[in-house]
Amino acid sequence: MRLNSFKKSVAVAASLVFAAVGLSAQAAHAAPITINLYEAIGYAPDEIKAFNASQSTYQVVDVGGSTGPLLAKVAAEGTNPAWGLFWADGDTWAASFDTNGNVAPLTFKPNYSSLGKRLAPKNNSFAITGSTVMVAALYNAAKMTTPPATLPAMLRTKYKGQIGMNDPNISGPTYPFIAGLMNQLGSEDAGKNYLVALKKNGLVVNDKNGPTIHALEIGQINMGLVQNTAALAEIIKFTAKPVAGFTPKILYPGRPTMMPSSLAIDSKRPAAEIAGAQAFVKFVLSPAGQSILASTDATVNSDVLCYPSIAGTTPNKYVPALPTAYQIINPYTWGPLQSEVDAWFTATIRTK
Amino acid sequence: MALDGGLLVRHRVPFSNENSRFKRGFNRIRITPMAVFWTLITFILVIPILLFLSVAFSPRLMSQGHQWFTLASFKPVFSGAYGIALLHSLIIGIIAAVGAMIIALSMAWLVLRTNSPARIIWNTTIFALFLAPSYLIALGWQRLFEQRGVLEIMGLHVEPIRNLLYGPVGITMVLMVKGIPFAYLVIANAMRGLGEEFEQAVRVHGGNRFAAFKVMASLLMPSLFSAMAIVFAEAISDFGVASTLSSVGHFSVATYQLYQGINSIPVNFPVSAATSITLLSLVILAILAQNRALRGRSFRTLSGRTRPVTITKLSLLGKFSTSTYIVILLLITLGIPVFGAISASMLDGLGSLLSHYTINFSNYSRVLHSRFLRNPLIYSTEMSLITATLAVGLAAIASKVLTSARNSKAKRFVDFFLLAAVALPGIVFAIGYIFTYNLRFINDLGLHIYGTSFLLALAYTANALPSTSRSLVGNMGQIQESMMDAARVHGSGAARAWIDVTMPLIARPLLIAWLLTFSGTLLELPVSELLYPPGSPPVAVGIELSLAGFDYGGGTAIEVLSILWALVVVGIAFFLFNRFAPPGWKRLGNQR
Amino acid sequence: MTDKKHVNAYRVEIRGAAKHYGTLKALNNFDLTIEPGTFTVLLGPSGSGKSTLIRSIAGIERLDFGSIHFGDREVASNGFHMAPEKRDLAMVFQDYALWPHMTAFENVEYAIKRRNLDTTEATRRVNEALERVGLSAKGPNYPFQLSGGEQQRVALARAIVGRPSLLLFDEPLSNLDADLRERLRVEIATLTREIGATACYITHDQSEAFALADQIGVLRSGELQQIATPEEIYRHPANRFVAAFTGISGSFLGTVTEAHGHKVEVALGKRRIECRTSADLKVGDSVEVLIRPSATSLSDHRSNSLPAIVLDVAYRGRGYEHVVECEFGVISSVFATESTARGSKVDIYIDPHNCLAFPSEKRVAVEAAIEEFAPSK
Repeated sequence: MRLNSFKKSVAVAASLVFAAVGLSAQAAHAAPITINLYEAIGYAPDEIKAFNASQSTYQVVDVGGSTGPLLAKVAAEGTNPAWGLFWADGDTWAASFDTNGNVAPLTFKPNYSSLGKRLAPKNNSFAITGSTVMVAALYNAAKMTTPPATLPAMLRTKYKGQIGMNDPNISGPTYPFIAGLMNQLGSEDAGKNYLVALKKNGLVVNDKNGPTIHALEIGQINMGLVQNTAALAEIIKFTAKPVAGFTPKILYPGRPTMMPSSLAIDSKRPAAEIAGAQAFVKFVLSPAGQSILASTDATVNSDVLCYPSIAGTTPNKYVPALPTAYQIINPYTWGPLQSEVDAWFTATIRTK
Repeated sequence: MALDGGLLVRHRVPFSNENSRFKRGFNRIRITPMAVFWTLITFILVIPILLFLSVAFSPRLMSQGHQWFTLASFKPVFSGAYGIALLHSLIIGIIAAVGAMIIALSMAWLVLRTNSPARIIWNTTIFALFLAPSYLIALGWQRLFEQRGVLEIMGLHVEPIRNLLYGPVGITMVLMVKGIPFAYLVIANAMRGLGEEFEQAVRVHGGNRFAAFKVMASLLMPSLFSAMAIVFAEAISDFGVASTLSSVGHFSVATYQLYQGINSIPVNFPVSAATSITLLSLVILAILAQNRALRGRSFRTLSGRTRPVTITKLSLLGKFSTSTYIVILLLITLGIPVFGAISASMLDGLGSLLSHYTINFSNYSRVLHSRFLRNPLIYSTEMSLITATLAVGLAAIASKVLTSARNSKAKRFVDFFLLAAVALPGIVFAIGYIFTYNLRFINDLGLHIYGTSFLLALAYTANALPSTSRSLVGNMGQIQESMMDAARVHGSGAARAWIDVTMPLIARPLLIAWLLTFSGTLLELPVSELLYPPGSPPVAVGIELSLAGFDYGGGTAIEVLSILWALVVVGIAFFLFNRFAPPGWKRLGNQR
Repeated sequence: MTDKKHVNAYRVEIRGAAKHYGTLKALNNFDLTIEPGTFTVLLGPSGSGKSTLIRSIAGIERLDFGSIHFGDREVASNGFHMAPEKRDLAMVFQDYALWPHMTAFENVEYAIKRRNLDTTEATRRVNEALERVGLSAKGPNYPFQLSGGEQQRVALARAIVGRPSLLLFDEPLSNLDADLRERLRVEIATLTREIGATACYITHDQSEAFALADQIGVLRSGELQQIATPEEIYRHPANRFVAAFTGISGSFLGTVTEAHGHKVEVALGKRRIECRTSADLKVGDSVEVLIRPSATSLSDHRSNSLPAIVLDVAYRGRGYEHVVECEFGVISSVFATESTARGSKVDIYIDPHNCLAFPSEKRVAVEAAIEEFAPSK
């Protein structure tokens, strides 16, 4: 009997190994042609589902994650990439891909709105699927009755210690805000000086949107400079369930920077896959794909709170009007400066 | 293939006839379990680590730059500022490791050698402790001590503590707390295998209780060092806790540099690799310290002659004070993350316990149907089951190598690479895997394992191997070798002997190692994020995606549900063990 | 019907065995033959290589060179190593090596699995083995519930239950109390002979070796010094080491004054003592005189005696052992049926037959050096 139980355990072990190997046999596939989409966009799975359902030649497979790790994954894949499409906030990464010759330009011209046209790359090397604003100033109207509406206003001693922002080293979207500051103030140094002045006025720095908003909620700060989708999500939450003493509202100080979301196609994959990728991009930018923005419940999927880039798309109902004075920064110019600015921020702003 | 003895020996060639060197050499090739072990270790641990580190010198090797050889990546590493950061990491690592070990040792003694009433609570909550992710721990501390946080609103003047918390003290403390559960499990395992005769010898020769305790502690040295080594390596590889509770300007640690490389656009792996190499130098220091301490001693105390220990009966004061100690420790190690979880996922409104709130489970009922929970949790469970089994098998062999008497090259090799895997942040480890298994020529060979569950399982196993094997080192080192010899001599092959003799002796530690691996893999993030098969995200990725979508309540709720699920599995496993394992297996180490 | 005698006892042949650990030579060009059914004891101090040898015979260690045969079967040679479980032997270990998670019964039962008997027969044999060692009532007990002696007896039962062809003993009595040692030694001796297996036993205890062995091999630093019957070893030790290791009362340095073949006369100071020698000694050679305990007695002024003073008297039940000091050193184990008080002046008679002279180590060293630098033909 001992022998039997031994044989049994061997059989169990062997079958576990075979199960593991069997799991790997997922790699084998016939038609349809599969394309891996690396994405950090909340409503991407819905788009994928809709696209896959609408035709049978191609199958887009979802590889969701955070932008940073996904970019690291792409970099590690190097010259033998497994990704077919990459979709995330920001365009500096897409510009970097383009500069390194890794993207396949779109084979069609998207029907961009005027915002979309301004955001899209001139060579049509990747698609712009929408845009968020960096930054929106989310403030507690219950505590801040006259919030600062302009950049110089935020430096007044009246608001000392009440304003918070994110750390660009950890919060991806924060760098475009800083770049935008530098752009509208005229130079990199001007932007840096502004931030130093803010710091002198008691600026509170947290890692990213979540902690900054939390600081706002408990009254550590009264105004947080966050991504507009995060701000909108917060407003939606507290409109549904109001809490005394906390009334979140948004304003856009200065000329907020539009941060587009980019969707790029890998040029190093087989031609058939690239064709499928093109079809997917086309779908996302088509009325069918764009309708997902309006039809999705924003309370659980706040990425749909972006400003559409395609003409004729109805934005989600919670999205307010586009700020009148917005700016667009050139990712090819500002992208390469990111590491240096991030390091400067750490050394100068985030310290006490 | 005969599994006996593992000796697939070629039947001996008639020695007298063919004396050719070739034939003799060929006869020496043996396919043994050890050979399989070394092959596996090389492919799942050594090569990925080495390939990643190689880009520090040779970016072009993995298409990460233009030069075939350069030292430019080391430039940021040779700055004074980085040197200080590295020193900080070293100090934090040491203090966290030693602190965790001391607390864990005291807890193990209280639980296993006394009749303190609160020990039962500790025993039942230990796995919950182990599962508490550092994100929740840091969050809990923050919620308590932040400006206008819970304690401040209660009127407590917490500013001095807060200033301590948001700095090296806080970081070290959180990392120490994080390390206590693992250290406890390792040390308790070893303590169970220690008969009482050594302490009695001290008492008989005039030593007091404390002297006896010191003897016991010295006999437990291998497990103490095992625990410290892992806590140390985990501490120096940490990024999340340090960045949450501090900032580089304030108090820098080595991992900032590493993550800066990874987060830059374009990604700068060479700098991250150069930084990783410096982290590994700290690991070498740790191993040297350990080997010095354990040099030349025998810790083989577990045999048929090991008698169950008698329990120290505490006085009323003793019971009270020890119970208080245990409860306070539990409050700190478990209560705080629980508080963080409650605050983030179960409270309405502002998540503050003191403003107007109601506890509701709307987040929980919502996420039960979330696509971030169901399938990912099922997938993660399957993967964790496989990983735990694979890892425990490999870890048993690895721990045997680690406890061999001679300080052989093999032992040092395994020791180094196992700790290296811990000291390197998970993302780095995963990138090494992508480098290794996404190589074009491997694909050309017909091997397409990048992007499969198979590769993920291997990566999980390699990731879990260090802590799993070190959790077994204490026990492996205690088994007297003659017991295996006796089984071999009386008719059993090596594998049978191992199953009949060694495994039962370490049945409980094996079970605990299995559960540790299962729990650790279920919620593992960095490796999961980079290596999961397209379309099958593990649950940690699901949680991450919820949090990224600003659904903090939902994300935390999924995390809590996953932890509860893991606890259910732990409970089932212990139940099955206690119910079905042969009595001889349970007797050992369970003198309670 | 059970066969009491096992007819397949092995003939063990070891040729040219060598093993080193780094620079340390544990075994060096070792040859040994053990006839089937005989009891061989390997005697030597720690580090002499006896442990390595017995573990190599068992197969739990590998030789670097040399071969081992059991009868016609080769079990070890260059490039070949038969696994321990295939060698059909049994072993009793110094630390008992009982498995703590099994009862005494299960421990013994484990060793009989390889015979593939049906359960009833297996149980019967196990009970028989336990009974044979006097522990039939202790079957259900776990090792920690047994005393040291009982544990070793379980180990013994485990070793014999499968009627192995070769029984190995690795200093099984070292961890036992003195009285237990003797009892268990007798059991080992009788049990082994009952079964008829070949036995190889290692120990550092010379009296144990003499009591048990059909032949004794004395080891030193991995080399076999002498292999012979106990009587031969005692009476005609091959060299100084063997003589010293197998029991001496005292040793003194002297010079040869007369030499007639095996009989020599040695000058110790002004005294003359007659001794035996196996070496080729000439007048004037420096020698070391080794005195067996059986050579000494309190004399009544016979010749070949040394005057001494009694240092210590110990009562041994059957008589008294005296330790005396003479002008050249101390002589111990001088036996007499009556005691002589400490401090008394006595004469110690040295029986020349049991008094052995060997070339002194210093001379041996010098000769070795000469041989190295100016070898004679």
